[in-house]
Amino acid sequence: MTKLSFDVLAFVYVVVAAPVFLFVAFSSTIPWDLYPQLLVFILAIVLASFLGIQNPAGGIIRATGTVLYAVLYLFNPITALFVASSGHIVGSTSTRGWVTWRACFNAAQVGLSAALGSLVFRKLGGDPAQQDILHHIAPVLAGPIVYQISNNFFVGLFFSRVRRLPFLWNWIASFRSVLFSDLLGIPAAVLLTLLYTRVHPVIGLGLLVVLPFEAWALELYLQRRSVYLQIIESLIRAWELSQPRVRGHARRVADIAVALARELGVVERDVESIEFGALLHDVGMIGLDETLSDDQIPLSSSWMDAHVKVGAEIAGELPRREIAEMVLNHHAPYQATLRDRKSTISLGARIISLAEEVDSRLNGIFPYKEPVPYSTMHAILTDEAGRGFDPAIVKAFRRAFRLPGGEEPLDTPEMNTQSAA
Amino acid sequence: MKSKRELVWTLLLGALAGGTLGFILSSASVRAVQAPWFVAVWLLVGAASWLEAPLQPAGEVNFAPAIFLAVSASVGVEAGMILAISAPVLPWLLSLRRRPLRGVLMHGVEDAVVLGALSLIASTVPRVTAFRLGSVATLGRVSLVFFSLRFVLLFVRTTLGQGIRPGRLFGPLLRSCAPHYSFLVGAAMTMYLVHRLIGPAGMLLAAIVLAEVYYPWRLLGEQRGLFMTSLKMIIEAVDLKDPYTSRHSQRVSNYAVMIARNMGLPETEVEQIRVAGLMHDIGKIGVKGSIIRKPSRLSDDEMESMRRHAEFGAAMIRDLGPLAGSGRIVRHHHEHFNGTGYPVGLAGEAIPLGSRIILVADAFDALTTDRPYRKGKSREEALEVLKTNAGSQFDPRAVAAFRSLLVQRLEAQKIP
Repeated sequence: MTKLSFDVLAFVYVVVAAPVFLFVAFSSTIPWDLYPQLLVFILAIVLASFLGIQNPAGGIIRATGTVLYAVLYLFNPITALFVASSGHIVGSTSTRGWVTWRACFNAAQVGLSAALGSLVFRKLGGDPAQQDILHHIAPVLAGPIVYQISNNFFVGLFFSRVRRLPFLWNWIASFRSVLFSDLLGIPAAVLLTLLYTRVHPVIGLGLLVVLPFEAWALELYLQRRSVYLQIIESLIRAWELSQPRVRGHARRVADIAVALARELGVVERDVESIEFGALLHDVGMIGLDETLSDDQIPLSSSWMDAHVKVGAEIAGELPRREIAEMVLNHHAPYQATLRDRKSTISLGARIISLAEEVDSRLNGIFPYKEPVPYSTMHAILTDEAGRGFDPAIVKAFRRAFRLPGGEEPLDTPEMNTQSAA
Repeated sequence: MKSKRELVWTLLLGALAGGTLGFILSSASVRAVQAPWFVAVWLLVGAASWLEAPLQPAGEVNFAPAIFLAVSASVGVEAGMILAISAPVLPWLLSLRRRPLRGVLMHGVEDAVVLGALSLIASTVPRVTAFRLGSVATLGRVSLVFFSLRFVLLFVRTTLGQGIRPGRLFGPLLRSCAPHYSFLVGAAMTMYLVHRLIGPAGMLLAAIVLAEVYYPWRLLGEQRGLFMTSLKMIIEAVDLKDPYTSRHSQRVSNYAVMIARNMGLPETEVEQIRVAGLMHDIGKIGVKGSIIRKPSRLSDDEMESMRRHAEFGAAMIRDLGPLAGSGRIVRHHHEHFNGTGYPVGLAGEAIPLGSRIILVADAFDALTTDRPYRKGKSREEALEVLKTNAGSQFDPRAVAAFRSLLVQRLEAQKIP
C-alpha cells in the first residue's frame, strides 16, 4: 500500500477524533436504559451490511442505508452517532476484513453523517412520535439527504486527496449517482420508524426479510442482461468477421460511448440504450455489404445515407425508440444541431458519432484507410469541436481518457490571438 | 381468427364486470372514502399495474392485485373493483398511449371480474369467505381463491389466443405463475397488516416498499423483450441481403411455432423452435449478397458456399447460452425427409423434429412470396405443393398439421 501523505493522515485523524470527542462530551444524552433497542439496531446494521444488493448502475447498494435512516429518525444526534458507528465498525469489518485506519475512518464518517442527519431532521421539526408523519415530509426527506451529502463529502474528500481528483466535481458526481437509489430507501425507513414507534421495536426489522428476495431478482436481471448483450455482440462480431478491417469495431465504439456517457453523467437507463445503439450503429451495413468490401468505389454520400437509414429502420423495431434515432443520426455533424433549433439529434447520437470517429481514425476503419496516431486524432477532435462534434462531448472525452487540457476552455485559438494582441 | 376470439372474450368480460360492479354498488352501501387517500392509492395502483412481469409461455402478471386486495379487505370490495378497472389507464396515459389500450384494459377487467365473483361468493356464502372479517389469515385464504380464479381466466385467454393445447399449457403456466402469485399474496397480507397497525399512511408506505422489491421483475421482462427484438433486428438485416425476403425469418418463426403447437409439442421445445425459426438463416450473414440475390442458376462453388449457411449458422449459435438448444435444429433445417438434403443427408425420424417443421414453414413462405422471376403462389396452391412433396421432401406429419391449421384459418376468413 502506498504511504498516505501528511495532509491525508491529518484529515483521517481529525475525522476519527471528532466523533470520539462528541461521544465523550455528550454521552449523557444517550438513553442507556433503552440498551436492548440500541443493540437491536446495531445488530440490524451488521446484518444489513451482509445483504449487498447489486446496483444496476454498478457497485453495490447495501441495505444499511435504510436502517441508518431509521436510526437518524428515531434517535437524537449523539445516539445516532453511537449506533451508526458501532454497527458500521462491526459490519464493515466482518464483510471487508480489518484494516485499522479504514475501519475507524469509515465508522467515524458514517457516525458523523448520521448525527448530522438526525440533527437536521430534528431542527426541521421532525418527530417520530408525531401522529401523522406524512405531514412532515420536509424533515423526512432532508434527514437522509443531509446524511448522504455528508457521507459523500468525507469519502469524496479522502479519495480526491489520495487519487488527486478534482474534489468538488467528484463530490457532486458521487452524490448525484446515489441520490435516486437513496430516495428509494426512504419509504422503507419511514415504515420501519412507524412500526418501531407505534407497534413494537422489533417488528419493523421484519422488513429486512424482503431484502434477500430483491437481491436475488436483481442479480438474476444483471446476469440475464450480460448474457443477452453478449449474444447481440457475438452476432455482430460474426458479421464483422466476414468484413475486412472492421473487426471489433462495434464493441470498441460501444466501450468508448459508454465511458463518455458515464463521464457526462447520463442516467443508467440511457447509458444502456447508448451501449445498444453503439453496438448496433452499423447494423444497416449487414444488408449492404458488397459496397463496403469493394475498395475501388469511393465512398458516396448516398451510400452513407443508405446504411444509416436502413439501420434506423431496422432498429425502429426495438421497444426503445431512442436507439433508432441514435443509429439514424450517428453521422450527423454537430453543426446541423446548431443550425436547426428544432433539431432532434440526441445526446446519444452525438456521443456515438464521436466514439465512432475516434475508433475509425485510430484503427483505420472505413471510411479511413490508414490508422492515425493518438496525437493526430486528438488534434482532429480539437479542430472539429463545435463543428463536427459537440464540444461538451469532446471535453468529456479528454477527461475520460486523461488527455491534457480536459479542464481548459475549448476555444484556445481565440485566446491565443487575444493574448498576442 | 385470433383477434376475433379475443374481442369476444373482452366484451364478455366487460359485460360481466359492469354487471357485478353495478350489482355491488346498488346493494352495498358505498362508504365515504377519504378522497386524498383514495387518489394516492389510485396513483399507486396505476404505477403497480405498470410493474408487469411476463409469464412463460404467454400472459403477464402485475403488482396491482396485491394492493387492491389489501384495499378490498380494509376499505371495501367496491373500492377494490374501481381501482382494478380504472387504475391501469394511468400507465397507458403516461406512456403517451403507446401501449395497446385493449391489453391494458383487459387485464384490469379480468381482475375486476375475479374480484366481483369473489365478493358475490362472499355475500351468498358468508361462511366460506368472510370478506370483511378482517383477520390476516382470512385475507390470505381469500387471496388464494382470487389468484386461483385469476389463473383460470389467464389459462382460458392463453388457450384461446395462442392456440396452445390446454394439456401442454397448464404445467408451464402454473410453474411460471406460482412464485409471482405467492409473492403477491404475501404482499397483500403485509399491507393489510400494516394498515391495521398504523393506518392508511402505513399501508401506502408498505405498498411502495413492496413495489420496489418487485421492480426487478419488470426489468427482467423488459430485458427479454429487448433481446428478442434485437435478434429479430439482426435477422432482418440479414434478410435484407435479399430484398425479396423481407421479414422472411419472422414469418417462418411464426409458422413454425403454430405447427409445433398444433402437433402438441411441449412448450420448451416450442420455444427452441421459435428461436431456430428466427435464426435459421443467420448463417447467411457470411454469404455474399450477390450470390443470395442471383436469380439464375448458381455455379457449383456458389452453391457450396450457399449450402454452408446451415452449418455456419449452427456453429454461430451453438455457444450462445439460451440459444444453444436451437443450434441442432438450425444445422439440419435443409435435410429432406427422404435423405436427399444437406449438410449431412439425414432421413426420416433421424432429422430433429424442429428442423422438419422449419423446412415446411420455410418452403411455404418461399412459395407464397413474390420473387424477381415469378409471382408468389396463393396459399391454396402452396399447400398443394407441400402436399405433393410430403414424404419425399417434407415430413407428412408436419405438413398435415400445417394444413389443418391453414384450412381452419382460410375458412374463418371466408365467413365474414
